[in-house]
Amino acid sequence: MNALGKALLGLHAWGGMIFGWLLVPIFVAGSIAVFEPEISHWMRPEVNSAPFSPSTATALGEARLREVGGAAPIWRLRLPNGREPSIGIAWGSNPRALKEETLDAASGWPLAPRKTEGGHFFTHFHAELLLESPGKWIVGAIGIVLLAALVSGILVHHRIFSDFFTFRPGATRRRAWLDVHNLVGVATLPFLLMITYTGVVILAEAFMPAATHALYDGKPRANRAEVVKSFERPARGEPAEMLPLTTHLAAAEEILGAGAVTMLTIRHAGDRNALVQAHRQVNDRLSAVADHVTFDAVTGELFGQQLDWNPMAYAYRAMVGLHVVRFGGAALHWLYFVSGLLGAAMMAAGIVLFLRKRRQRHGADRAQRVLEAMGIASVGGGLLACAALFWANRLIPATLAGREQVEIYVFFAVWALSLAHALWRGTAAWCEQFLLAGILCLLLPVLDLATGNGLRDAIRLAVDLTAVLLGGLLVVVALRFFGPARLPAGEVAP
Amino acid sequence: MMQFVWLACALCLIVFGMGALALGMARHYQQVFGTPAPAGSARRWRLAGSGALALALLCCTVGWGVAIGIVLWVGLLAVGVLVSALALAGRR
Repeated sequence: MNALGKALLGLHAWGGMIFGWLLVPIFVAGSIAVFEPEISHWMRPEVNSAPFSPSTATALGEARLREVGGAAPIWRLRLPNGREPSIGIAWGSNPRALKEETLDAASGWPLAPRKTEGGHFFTHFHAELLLESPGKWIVGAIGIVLLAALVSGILVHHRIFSDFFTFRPGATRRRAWLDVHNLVGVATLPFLLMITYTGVVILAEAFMPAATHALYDGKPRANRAEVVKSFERPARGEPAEMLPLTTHLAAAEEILGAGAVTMLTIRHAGDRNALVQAHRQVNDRLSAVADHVTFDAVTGELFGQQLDWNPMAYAYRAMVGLHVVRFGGAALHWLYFVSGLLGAAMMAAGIVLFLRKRRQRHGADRAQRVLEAMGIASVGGGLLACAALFWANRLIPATLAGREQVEIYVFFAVWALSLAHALWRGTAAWCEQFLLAGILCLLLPVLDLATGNGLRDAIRLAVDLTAVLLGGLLVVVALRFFGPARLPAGEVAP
Repeated sequence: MMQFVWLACALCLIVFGMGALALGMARHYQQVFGTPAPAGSARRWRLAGSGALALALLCCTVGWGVAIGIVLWVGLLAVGVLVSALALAGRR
């Protein structure tokens, strides 16, 4: 191997492993986040899913808003959809601190769902490790390292194209792991390049704000305001009767398409100058731009609309759209979910390969034990913590104050314990943590049945079934790839 | 509903196409048929495989629009590779 090859191998192996410690959990969380609305629904078993219609939902939401938010100038009404079957209303005077309430989509009854981050936890963790700006810098930086690792990987594993379809689970474990790493890597390579590139581009504003500073005084909102037209006017101070929101909804659907409205925002509610803005869904287009129209709330006259965007907005929002996959329905959501998990599996296999090779060279010294524990905690521990979050969500009392924080503490506590466990148990922890995570997933339907308030619906059933499938897979991986038995002579586990 | 018909067509074509591309490799031909690949067969399998993948792209773009169709197609390619590799894994 020439000098360049050695340098690339070093970059790929060390860079891949060290950054893999965070990349694997980020990929796992990102894959789960594809189903954020479904998971949020699963995690709020107080919310029923009943058949609904947009116009009835609008009328019900408006009735409740008049009751509780009559004096507030800002109203917001989120319409139910198939993935999030409840009405969300919000009201107040500060648009960033509105009071919120969830209503049953069929009856309009206010629900009191348990306080939880829901599926948003996974998105939040995936995008910024719950750390705001510093988290974005970290995630952006390791995204760039992942791009380097992918490209160097194509060069280092030069056999990937001659071994394109090769998977030999019956061969030695080293071969099997290498096959998993190469095969999954090459099969999902277009996806991995796309998702990493778009992820880095989305975060670019956070870690490269030079353009915003040069052009917009460092205010991203000024940039946004230039792209997203806003149709606003000051309140006049005279009260006036607004037309029913269903009238505005019908008018908005004329322009945006039937059933395409996701949200209504009312400004200066009850004033002569009140405005109603309707936002269009983005889930039928690649570029995630939300067209919107605004009406005079009192007369119903069209006040403004934005149905096309400047080319840069389309280009940038296409990056966002490609990354967050609101489009394409269940088929694309599942492809992203599976591809993301496969990407995590590819990286996990890389970590396993690195650790095996190093152990053969250096034996089980102290550094090896630490590297091994970090690898186990990042892969097995990350999965275990995700599974534990679902359990915490249902087992922490629904009325406990601050319970949404407690759920997150449980996630990180389990993760920290998995590191301690890995330091204590050494390589045996691979099998034990995968097995435990698998069992927690397999038993999730039982938990759902026991704590689901008797509400069963297609969304929760789908989450349960997915958990069972993944749990089965984890158990198989634990026993087949990490298990202690059936080692041919001269083999080391795992 | 039609979208899912196109999706099913594309998936079948891609699994067939990737399988054919695998049979275009001497090692996998031997694995599947037990005999060394006759002269010229690799070329034919590869041609058939590429043709099927191209047709699948057509199905995706017709059913799902060009932009989303291409993303769908690329995602399905991964499924095709893994299905073919797993099918071959059972054979020596």
